[in-house]
Amino acid sequence: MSRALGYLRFAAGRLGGALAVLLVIAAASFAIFYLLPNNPAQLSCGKPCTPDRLVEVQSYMGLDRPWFAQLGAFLWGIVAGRTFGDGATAIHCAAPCFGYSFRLHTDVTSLLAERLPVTLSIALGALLLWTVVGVGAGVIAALRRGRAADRLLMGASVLGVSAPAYLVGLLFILLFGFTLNVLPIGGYVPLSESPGGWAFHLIMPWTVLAIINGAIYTRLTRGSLIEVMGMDFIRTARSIGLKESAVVTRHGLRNLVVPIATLVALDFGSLLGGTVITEKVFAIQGVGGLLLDAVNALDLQIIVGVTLFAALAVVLANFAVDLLYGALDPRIGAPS
Amino acid sequence: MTAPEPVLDVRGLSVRFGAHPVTHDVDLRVREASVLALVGESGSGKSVTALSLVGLAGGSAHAAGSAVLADGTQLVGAPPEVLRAVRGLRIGMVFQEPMGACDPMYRVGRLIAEALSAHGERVSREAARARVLTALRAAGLADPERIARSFPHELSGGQLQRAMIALATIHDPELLIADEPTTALDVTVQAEILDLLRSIARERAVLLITHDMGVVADVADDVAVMREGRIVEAAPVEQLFAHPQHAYTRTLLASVPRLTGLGEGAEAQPEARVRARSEERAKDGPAAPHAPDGAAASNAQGGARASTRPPQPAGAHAQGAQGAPRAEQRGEDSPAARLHEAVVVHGGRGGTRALDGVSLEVPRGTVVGLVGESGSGKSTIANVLVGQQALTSGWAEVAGTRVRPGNGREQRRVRARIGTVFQDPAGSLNPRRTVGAQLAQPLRTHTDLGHGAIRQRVAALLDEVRLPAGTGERMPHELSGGQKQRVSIARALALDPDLLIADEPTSALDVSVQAGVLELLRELHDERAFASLFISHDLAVIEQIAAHVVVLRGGAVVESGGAEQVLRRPTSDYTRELISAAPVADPIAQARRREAARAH
Repeated sequence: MSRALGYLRFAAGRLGGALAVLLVIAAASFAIFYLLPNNPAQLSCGKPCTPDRLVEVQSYMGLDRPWFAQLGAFLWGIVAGRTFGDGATAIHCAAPCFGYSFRLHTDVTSLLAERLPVTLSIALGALLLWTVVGVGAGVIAALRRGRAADRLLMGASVLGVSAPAYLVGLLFILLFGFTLNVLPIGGYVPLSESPGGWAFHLIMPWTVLAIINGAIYTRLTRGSLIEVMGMDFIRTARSIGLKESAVVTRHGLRNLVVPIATLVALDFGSLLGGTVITEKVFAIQGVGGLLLDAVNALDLQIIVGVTLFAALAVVLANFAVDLLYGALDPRIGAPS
Repeated sequence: MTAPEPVLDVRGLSVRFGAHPVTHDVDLRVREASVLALVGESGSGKSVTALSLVGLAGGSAHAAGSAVLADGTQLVGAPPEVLRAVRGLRIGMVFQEPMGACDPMYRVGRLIAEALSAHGERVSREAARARVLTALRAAGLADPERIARSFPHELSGGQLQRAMIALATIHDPELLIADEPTTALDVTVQAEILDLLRSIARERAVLLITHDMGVVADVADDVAVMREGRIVEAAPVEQLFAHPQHAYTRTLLASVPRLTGLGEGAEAQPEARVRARSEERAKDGPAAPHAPDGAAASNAQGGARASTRPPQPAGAHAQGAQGAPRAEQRGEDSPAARLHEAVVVHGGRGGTRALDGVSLEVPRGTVVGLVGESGSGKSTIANVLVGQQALTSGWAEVAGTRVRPGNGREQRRVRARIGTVFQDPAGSLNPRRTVGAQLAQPLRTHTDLGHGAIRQRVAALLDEVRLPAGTGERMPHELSGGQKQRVSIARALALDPDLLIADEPTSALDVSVQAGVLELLRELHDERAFASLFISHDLAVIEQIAAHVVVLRGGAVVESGGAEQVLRRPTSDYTRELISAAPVADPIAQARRREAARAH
């Protein structure tokens, strides 16, 4: 079998697995409708709600059909879109339809599309920042193992890992927002409006997320690099008279690319599901905020839609990691 | 032999790690176009000595003394930048395990090209490629383009070691340090790599670090024997082997297992005994439960050592040890282990055949030696017998019971009838429990002995493997490699098994320790008359212990028969190749064999 064909088959297998996972998550999140002691139609119908009106609303929302038909309609809506009601009152929810909020009179997909750039801005910036700082600190700690710099960084990383986001966020707001008055304490400016304002408003959320998540990268990098630098091929690299900096980067760090890339991809996936607390602390309306508001209002359509979208992001990130392995490590992904 | 300018002149070199001294006053002179072998057992300081010359002994290593290259460059105490310039350009290095020594992320050609440009030399892509290919071809690789394109894991150990030699010599250094370059390789591959080293040594000096006296005899011109950080003897190779001056050198030479009847000169006394023994066994035939002389000797010993087992004829004692529920299991006529047409295929249809129709039998009370190179299926057979590997077809049985993976009652009971000893004694003992607790474990699981009885059995077991009584209270890390392996043996024998599977049990040990462990296994076998499947790549070791030998290659049996017949009058070419590839620890005999092999 050719290498390319083997890779394709491997990718197809992983894709099938990813779809299966998504199906399970969709079914599970859909089950919330039935497990919660709420009647979505009742919530949507409002007060006062006559029994006739309730039946009408139920039929409109599709709640009068059996559960499997509802699940089927929901899933099919993601692929092909769906229409609620009929005639003049019909509402069309275009594909991919993640549900429709009767409370906000908008489909969940539009709500997500509106919030996604915000969350994406937070996620990408924070991820970049913490990868660079976290990995960099890990490298320094590993190369200065046992010395003062190592102990300092490791001590700091314990603080970072254990500090809660809301505490660090509030302390930052207190210090840089109020006391020093150098950074805005919240809000969001779209990148298209003003790149400077965009970055300026996001510096604090990025930093807070980086402090909390970067510490894990520092620990991973330090541990893995110490291990790799003890391997035989490092001695070979030194035995040919390579400069130590080249030994560390070309042979040490090159062997860390796989574990670090794995972590980055998975973290990116979970960040897209929203950074609920950080968004709340800095008053930014991202996907996390959408979810939080929906939970407060018991807007189940949005909850299910956002949950499924977050799961989709994580599963796709996993899938990307699986595909990346083959490209990043010559020993993997070449089924003979 | 007194060349005026040695390529490397080491005088009074002492290395310490922090406050802990490792080597003392080492003197070495490596002559031009010759091989100096630095020989010693593990921990003797031979690698540290070589690595400290180029500043690679580790951050906490401090060297004192003098080490001068031919042009007067002083290596000891030289600043790191000077040593870095020496590495690769003037001193090349080859290490033990080629797979570990290559960065798995890069193609082999790229690794060699990196060595080419490591010292700031500006080389065009094409020129670099051409030089890499030339170097690979010079290292004896017929298909350099493919090798350069390959990642390390796509090549065999031998190909990779040749590539590493190409890498180490790309700048045509005046000295090549080879640190156990063939230890991780199969014998036939080792022979080829040693040939390559010999041809390299025609143009430059080689400092060869090894523990293997056969390798020394094969390639060295001069030898320095190292022990506990000191050079105890240094001499030209013929002189050292013919007239060893130091007692340690003599011990080292005496403990090397040798294949007998290979046309060596005067035979050492222990060999004569081994030969007598193996002839004895061969005469008795494979079904003979024990060698009578050995049993008599050990019975006399057994009485003196107050074993819990009263001395008795070996045949009778197979009926069962104290308290172990076993008599019912013993179909006396079924062999200890049997494989019939065993096939193991990995990776589904069209996958690799790890075992390809192997049939073999381990008669009761007999040691069967299983010989072969890596990938021959030796360890797969062991895994099948202990139920860790399912057969694709065919069957396997131990003491008359079919074995298969799974944890049912029957399978657990069969497994209690098998003792296993593995290569790495440190890895097979639990580092956090005392030796005594680990020996008691199988007794507690598989017998209904009480506390006191178990304690007695543990003490008796320790005594049987010649360990002092206090060993039971000690932790594995407090023991030496040889002692740990004795504990493993005691554990394997705790339940008085029908079958002992010993998978390369002495391969990780130094020769002098190996000799002791082999002697112990032989004595225990004579005392207890268990059957044993003894797996080894080392024919000389096999000859010392096995009555019957099975030679495996690529998952199939190439040859089998009495040890005497297979090892002295082999019928297959492959067995002959194996025998001739293993270097003998005698430079004159080895040179003669080499000539003979070349003439072939």
